[in-house]
Amino acid sequence: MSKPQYKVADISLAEWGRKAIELAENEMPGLMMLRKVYGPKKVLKGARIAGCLHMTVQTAVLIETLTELGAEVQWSSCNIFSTQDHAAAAIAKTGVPVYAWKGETDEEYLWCIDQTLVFADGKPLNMILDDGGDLTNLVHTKYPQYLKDIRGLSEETTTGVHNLAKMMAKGELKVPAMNVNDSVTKSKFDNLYGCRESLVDGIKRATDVMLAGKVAVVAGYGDVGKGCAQALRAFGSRVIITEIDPINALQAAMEGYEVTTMDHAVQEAHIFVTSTGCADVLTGEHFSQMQDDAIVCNIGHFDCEIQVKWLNENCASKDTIKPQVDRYTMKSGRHIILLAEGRLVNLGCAMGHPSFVMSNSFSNQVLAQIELWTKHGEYPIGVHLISKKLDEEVAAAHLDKLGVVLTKLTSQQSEYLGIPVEGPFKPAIYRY
Amino acid sequence: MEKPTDMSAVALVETNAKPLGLQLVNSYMTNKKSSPQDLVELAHQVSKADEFVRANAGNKLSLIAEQIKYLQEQARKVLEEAKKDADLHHAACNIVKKPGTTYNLYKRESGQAYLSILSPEEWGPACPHEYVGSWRLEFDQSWTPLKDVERRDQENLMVTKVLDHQLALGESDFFSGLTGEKANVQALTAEQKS
Repeated sequence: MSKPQYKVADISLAEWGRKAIELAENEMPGLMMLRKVYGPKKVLKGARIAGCLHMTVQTAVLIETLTELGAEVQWSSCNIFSTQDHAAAAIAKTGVPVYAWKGETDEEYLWCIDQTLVFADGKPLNMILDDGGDLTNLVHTKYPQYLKDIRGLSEETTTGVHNLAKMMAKGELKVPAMNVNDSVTKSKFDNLYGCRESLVDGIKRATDVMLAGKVAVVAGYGDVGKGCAQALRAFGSRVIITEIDPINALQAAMEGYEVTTMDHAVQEAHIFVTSTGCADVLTGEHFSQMQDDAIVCNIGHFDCEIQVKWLNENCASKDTIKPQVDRYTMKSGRHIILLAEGRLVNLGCAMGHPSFVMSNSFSNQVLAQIELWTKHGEYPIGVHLISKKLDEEVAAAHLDKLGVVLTKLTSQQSEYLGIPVEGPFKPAIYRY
Repeated sequence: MEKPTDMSAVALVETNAKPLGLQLVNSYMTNKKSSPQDLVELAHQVSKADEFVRANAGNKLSLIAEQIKYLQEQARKVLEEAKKDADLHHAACNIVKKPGTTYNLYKRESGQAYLSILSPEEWGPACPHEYVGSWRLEFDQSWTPLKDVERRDQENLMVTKVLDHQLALGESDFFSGLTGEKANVQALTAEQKS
């Protein structure tokens, strides 16, 4: 039989989803600006975009931006648990084929991606919008016949970009790819400002703990760690940083944070946050020395930073206070509160990134799609960064909403600096 | 039933040679059976009565036995259904189940059974796991096999109609509405006809 028009958990949630989408639209000024600028020109007309990215309310705003720009879109989620069923229902209701529900099996996950490859008129996809690389891999390995018509792909996240680099090195990549992840307006915003708001949100929802006066250790002072440390300090916590990189360590010290090792900080702290991207940051040795009811959580991408296995094996008992909040009783009689089982605490215990910061990331996605579609042939096969000009365009699209008034260079100033009045304003190596 | 052929098995009323204090002249003569047939007749009667009593009791008992059997059957069915419902509820499932939705049961190679919203038709030939069956989750958390869904819908429709009618009667008429079954039945049949 032919594939279903859509597959979501419950189409009756559409009305609720629509309300949530409307609310998000107002918080995603970048995408709305792109609709205003590129919508009337229908710059994506003819594009058949297969998208594989968390089917959330924010993504719904992305999808509707793409369709408003003239593209045909089919969607699946890039994680089996991340779909917001009301958002998926609302999108399905508009006639966009979406195949996603919260709680897919791994097999169903691939089925969903499979459904997005061929469009209603029988023609296959000609653009890929991916998060994590599964859609990219599926097309390259199972449906290589479609590759010749695909003008390009845009990739949302670090994992997917790594995958693209690997494919490129092996000569397996067959289409031009845009690395959305490393746009300044993506990684420098969603990591820093996203986590700055969602870390504390997660801790508060989970424990209702008072942060003021507490000692908090943040392991790792990258973009995520910087955001976390700033948020905790803003609530009145005394923040200690651990770092392996002297540059980041110095940055932390210059911001006035105490920088020391976990071994030194462990007895002093009440709250532990890992954001290193490394394994075994908090070990059994540390757990044994922690104060009673120390709160332990991770906000780094992978769940190997905290030795949860050690806790499970060496505790006297484990009490689940509510989903995602476990209180371990140690043999010493002391307790440890672990959030989100050591997985991303802002996703497990809170709502992840706010719409506004996702608007930055997704505006990059839209511009990447426009680039690859309209400048077909200009980008050779390989992994490309979004140009500084477009990166700046994304940021600019968010200013009005915040009431930011930008200063313009005079032609004399422009000449003096050697920078065009309209930008790009910074060289590629600038670090922001 | 075994017939009492032995004549002595017939229980006659005891003889009394001096009834009411008056000595009978010859109690033997008085008591002598006029014909041996009499006894046989009596015996037959007794045996027939026995049969009737037994038959009557048997009828009554068998009715009860039938009822017991029926109740046992009902009980077994209830238990079986409860077990099936419980089994389906306990099958592995990643989704929050919602009444009114049809779920399909599959079995993985490992033997694990799981519920999915994807039907075998939607899977097509690519279906990776053995298909076991499909059920709809009802609002009372019971499961209706897909083939019975239509019948169940009819039943639900009937109930809804009765309920709607009750509500239409208005609050003040609620209790009289409960007893006024005739009116309801009439309303129902009228509706069904139309």
